[in-house]
Amino acid sequence: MSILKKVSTGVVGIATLGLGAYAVAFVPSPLTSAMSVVTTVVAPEAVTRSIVCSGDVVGYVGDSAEISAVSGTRMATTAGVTAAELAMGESTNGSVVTRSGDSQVVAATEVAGVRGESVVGYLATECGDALNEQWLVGGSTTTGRDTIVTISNGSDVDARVDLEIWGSKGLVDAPGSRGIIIPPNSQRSYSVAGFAPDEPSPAVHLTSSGAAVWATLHTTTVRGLVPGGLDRVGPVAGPTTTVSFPLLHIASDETIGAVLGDANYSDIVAALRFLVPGDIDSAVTITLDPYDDGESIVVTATIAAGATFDIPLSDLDEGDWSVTIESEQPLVAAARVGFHDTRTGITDIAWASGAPAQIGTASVVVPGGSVLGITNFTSADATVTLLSGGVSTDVIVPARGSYRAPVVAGLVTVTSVTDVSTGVFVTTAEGIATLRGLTAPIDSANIVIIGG
Amino acid sequence: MIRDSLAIVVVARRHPERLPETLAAIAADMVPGTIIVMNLTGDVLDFTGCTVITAAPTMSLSHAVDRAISEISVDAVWVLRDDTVPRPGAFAALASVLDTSPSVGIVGPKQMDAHSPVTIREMGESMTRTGFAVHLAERELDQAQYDRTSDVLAVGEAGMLVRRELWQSLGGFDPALPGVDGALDFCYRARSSGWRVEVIPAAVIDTAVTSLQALAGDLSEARVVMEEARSRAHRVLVYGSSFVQPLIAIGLVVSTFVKGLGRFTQKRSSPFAEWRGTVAGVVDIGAVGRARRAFRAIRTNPIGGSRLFVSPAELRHRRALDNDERRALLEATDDSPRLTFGATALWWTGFAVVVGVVLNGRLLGAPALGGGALLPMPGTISEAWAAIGATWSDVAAGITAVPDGFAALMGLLSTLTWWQPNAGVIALFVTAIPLSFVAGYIGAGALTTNSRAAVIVGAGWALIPTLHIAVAEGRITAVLAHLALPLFARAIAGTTIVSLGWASILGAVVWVSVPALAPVVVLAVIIRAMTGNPGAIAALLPAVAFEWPRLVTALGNPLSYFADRGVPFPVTTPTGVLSLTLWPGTPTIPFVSGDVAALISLAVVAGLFALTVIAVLVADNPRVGAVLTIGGLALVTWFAVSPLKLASADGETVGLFPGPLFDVVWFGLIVGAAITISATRIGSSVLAPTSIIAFALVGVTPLTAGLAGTSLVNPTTIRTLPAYVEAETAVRPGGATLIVTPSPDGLRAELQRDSGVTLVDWTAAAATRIGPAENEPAVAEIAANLIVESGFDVVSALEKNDIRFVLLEAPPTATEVSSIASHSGLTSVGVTDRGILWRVTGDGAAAAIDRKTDTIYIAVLGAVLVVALVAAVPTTLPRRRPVADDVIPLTEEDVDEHS
Repeated sequence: MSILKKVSTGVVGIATLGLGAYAVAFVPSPLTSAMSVVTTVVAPEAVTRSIVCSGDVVGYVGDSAEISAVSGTRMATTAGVTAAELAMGESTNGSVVTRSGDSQVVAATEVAGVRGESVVGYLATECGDALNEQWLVGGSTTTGRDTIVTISNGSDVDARVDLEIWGSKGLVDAPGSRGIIIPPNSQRSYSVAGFAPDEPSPAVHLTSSGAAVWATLHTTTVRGLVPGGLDRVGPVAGPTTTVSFPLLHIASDETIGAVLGDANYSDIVAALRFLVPGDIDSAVTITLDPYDDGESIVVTATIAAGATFDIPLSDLDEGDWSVTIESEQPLVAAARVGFHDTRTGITDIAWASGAPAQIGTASVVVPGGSVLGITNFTSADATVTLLSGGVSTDVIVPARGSYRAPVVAGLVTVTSVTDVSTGVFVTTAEGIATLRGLTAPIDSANIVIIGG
Repeated sequence: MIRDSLAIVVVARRHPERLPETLAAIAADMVPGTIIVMNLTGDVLDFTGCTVITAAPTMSLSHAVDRAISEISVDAVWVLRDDTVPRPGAFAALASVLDTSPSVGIVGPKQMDAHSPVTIREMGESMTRTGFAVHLAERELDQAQYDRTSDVLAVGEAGMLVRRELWQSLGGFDPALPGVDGALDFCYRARSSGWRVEVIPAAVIDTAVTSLQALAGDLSEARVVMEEARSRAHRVLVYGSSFVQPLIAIGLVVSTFVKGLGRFTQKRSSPFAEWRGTVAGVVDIGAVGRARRAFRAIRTNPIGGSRLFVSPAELRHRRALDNDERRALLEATDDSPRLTFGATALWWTGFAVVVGVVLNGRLLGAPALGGGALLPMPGTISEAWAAIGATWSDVAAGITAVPDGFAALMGLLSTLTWWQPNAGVIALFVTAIPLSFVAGYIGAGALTTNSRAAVIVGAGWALIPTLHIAVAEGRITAVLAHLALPLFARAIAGTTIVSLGWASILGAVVWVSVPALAPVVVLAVIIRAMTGNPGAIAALLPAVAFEWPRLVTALGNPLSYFADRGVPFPVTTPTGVLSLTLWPGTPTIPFVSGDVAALISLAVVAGLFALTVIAVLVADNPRVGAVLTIGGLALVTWFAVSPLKLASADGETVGLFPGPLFDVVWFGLIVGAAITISATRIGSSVLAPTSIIAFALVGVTPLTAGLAGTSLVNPTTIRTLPAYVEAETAVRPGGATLIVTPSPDGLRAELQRDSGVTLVDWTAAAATRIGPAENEPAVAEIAANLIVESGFDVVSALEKNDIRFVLLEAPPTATEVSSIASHSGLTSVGVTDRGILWRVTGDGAAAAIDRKTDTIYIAVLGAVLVVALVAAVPTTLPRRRPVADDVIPLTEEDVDEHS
């Protein structure tokens, strides 16, 4: 047997292995497979979107220890029916607006201008989709300031709510703030002062098990015997690393300057309030862009974790500003601006919750005197479709920039395929307020279901 | 005097060419009498000096004799066949006894083998009490040791001299016994009617064939056994008492069947021939009845406790001699050297156990394992067994499909740890290293008998990244294939039925665990069938028995067949040249960059390849070439399917895990290199330890994944659903839980039943489905409507699908929470370890799921596995003679010597 014959099997083996190695390394496979993720696109039947409104302006009437309605609100809604009134004590207050079908254009705004003995001011607050976790930033519980959290459960099941009150010294130990049961279709209001008295910078973290709830923070101010300041803010869903206030109007020195000498009026100066939950301090960059001529102002600061912190914006020129906050750690923030009319003597403040960056159609119903601001925080220009007064226009929001437009009373929708934040600033003779454009929580037209 | 009135009947059937010699011998011995040649050949025979009567070739010997003597009047008949040649004086010796002893009715000669004239072919017959026919002297050298024998129970038909009155009173031979034991039965009846039978050692004839061969020609051994068994059954039933006859019949059938099972397990040929013959004899009731009546009519002198029977002790002695003869033959043919598992190997195994426990000991004591591609097994053995042949899987919202081979394999393997199926999985993962060492060591025996080389192979096999990436990612299929591959190589290289049985079982484990290795298994078996035993092709049967439903289903989409079994889990697919590192992922080595790690891995493979080439060229071992060829096929398979997505799960499409395919290549390279290393002079001292250390260093990252915390496999509970669900389903089993998981790409909706999905639920049909399975659209619709407030009647839809729980895998504050809660009919249970749980109110008495098992599949699989297992169990004793290992020659002189 020759040596060649003896090693022939081995040579065949080496050759086959070499061939396989060559194919694996250098030849693309000719085969294709039809495998794909198993998905089904479902358009749910008769989708109903329910948004919850908080209802009347509330407060302590007279010497009553009970919170009750001070004054009614006007509710401006679009494309929806009031499905339920929410019970508050004996009476009803608040309501649920529901609509089946195109859920994206359901919106409602409550508006009230009050000139009463104990309350003076103006509020306009969007109604929104109930949440299981929400943060409310704003208000104060120092002398003359009242801050009331109103929790509305518009669903058919109980909500079990835990409140965490944060203040400038950290988390407040607040007895009775846990395990609050909100029955179906009802509403409860609690004074934040009851949990955290004499707190200049409260923030409320609300978690709900069971039914989701809509909570708002209602603030009133009385300076000495002079009432002046009313607002109500809606919640944000959670801490984020970017927060925008697309449009804030800073009043001129001619208006609020007249009263600034009085220490009681120190809280009508524009300010930002921050809360970095958790344990890690966060460096934040605050960018203030004027809509009119002027330089952008960039402020950097380190916010200590675990306590609220107010930064006054006292040196801003009068006019419309867009404020954006970038943070290393997720945070919640709110902005406050003041208003004073020397002719009528009306003083008002407005708190603004951060407007979330959203894709899709954000809708908001605006009262007269509104200006819309859109902030595009991404690094590419955004083309958005703006609908106001029944007229639809495409506008371009520049990268890391903002767009401003006055809008007529009624439904305003902003439709975008990239993340933009939508805010509205309302100025009336009775005072000022801010609104946010919110999208439906889920694009319910075609839900992509992935097979398990 | 007999010689005055004698008929010599020569029955010619199959050996007419010997007939002239027979006739010449009769003539030479000057036997007086009428010679009648019964021509049953079917041809024309023409002989002078004798009468030739031609009759049908089917006529029995007995009838032929009847016919021959029907027209002549004689006192005695001498029965001869065409293959018998009487030696001189034979007739005289026979006749003298009949003449002198009137009580003797039948005499017979000593039959010698015509082909070996000094060997006794037969000299008198007897039987045991239980009816076994025994030749008193069978194939023994004639040393006159039997020459004092005279009184016997019976004599054979060839050369039998019988008185005519006796012949006619008994009616000749029993027609039911034409080929076997006709003479035995005839003599028995003769004795029962008072005659004596004697064998006459002085009368000698030469016989070429047995009575059966004379009748029917050369037959297979099985046929002979069958005929003997039929004859025995017939005789026992004829002689026995009529009361116990049915019992005897049943006893015969049962006992021969049990004996057949014994022969079957001993892997003897035609194990059930005896049983078949017995059944044939028992069911021929007509023949038994006729023979019984005839026997009763003539029985005057029943044979009692006669010494003429063969004692059981004698029978045992004879059988022991037979067995020794058979074993001696077997051992004489089995003289190949073998690799032994000696003390060194044991020490290394112990070391590997320590390493395995250190690296993966954290898994010990866990109730189950999960993570990566691994899910827990069912909690009880009955649930695991239920997966065998199951046509329903809870995965993919419930899917009806053909039985899955891997589920069946896992169900069967669970039997090894019958008290807790998960214990087997834990043991597999903890002992993967020692088991791989043993597998590698034993597997090396396919190519070498050198224990030093085998240690290198075992160590390499226990350390390479293909194993440890599979272990870290929970790819139980790849781990099983890794263990079974070298053992399969060793088994398929063997020649015995035992090794073939093991090859068939191990091949099935490899194939069923990793269908991408099916071409490899098939090629290995084909090579074996071509180079050795063609019957080796039967080694594919167990794999086919596991997989035939899937194979048939996959005809429409053959590529999907190759998808990994078990839970589809994403693969970091190495592409291009990176594949040649033979890492089933990206090579990573501590302290060096990815590129350097890839280069080092490539260098290791290249080094092994170079050593393998040396082994092929100089070691004269064709099997290395065969293993490399198979490795080449594995690479070609990987080339074809590497870019393909073959399965999908959890919203991801998943390609093939290349580890098992690379394993095939690794095996060839490691064995080749080990052969070269162990044969070189510096091998044992330098190269062997160096290579083992190199394996350990290159594979250290995946090897220590368990310690480093990068392993995906972790202890888990057997249930995968919240305890509340488990508790509820324990009371009311069968209910489903809808698991909804929001993700950026969409909403994942999954249905799990009872306490959750287990490993055996993940069938290939579910994993490789293209498009939604039968129940998925309904579940998707429910899920989509659940997460929005809608007018859809979710609760009745849930009840219709027997969904009792809804689990949202999201924090309690997710937006979906309120949407789901908005649907009346859902009661919030609360936040669990997996998410937020709702209970569906209402009884939801939906129709139970049709969990059919495929009984045909189970029957086929069971039958094939039993045969394979019987083949694999070594039922013969180990050989008694040790055979020295031979070392593969590598030096020039050795090569020349072997040429």
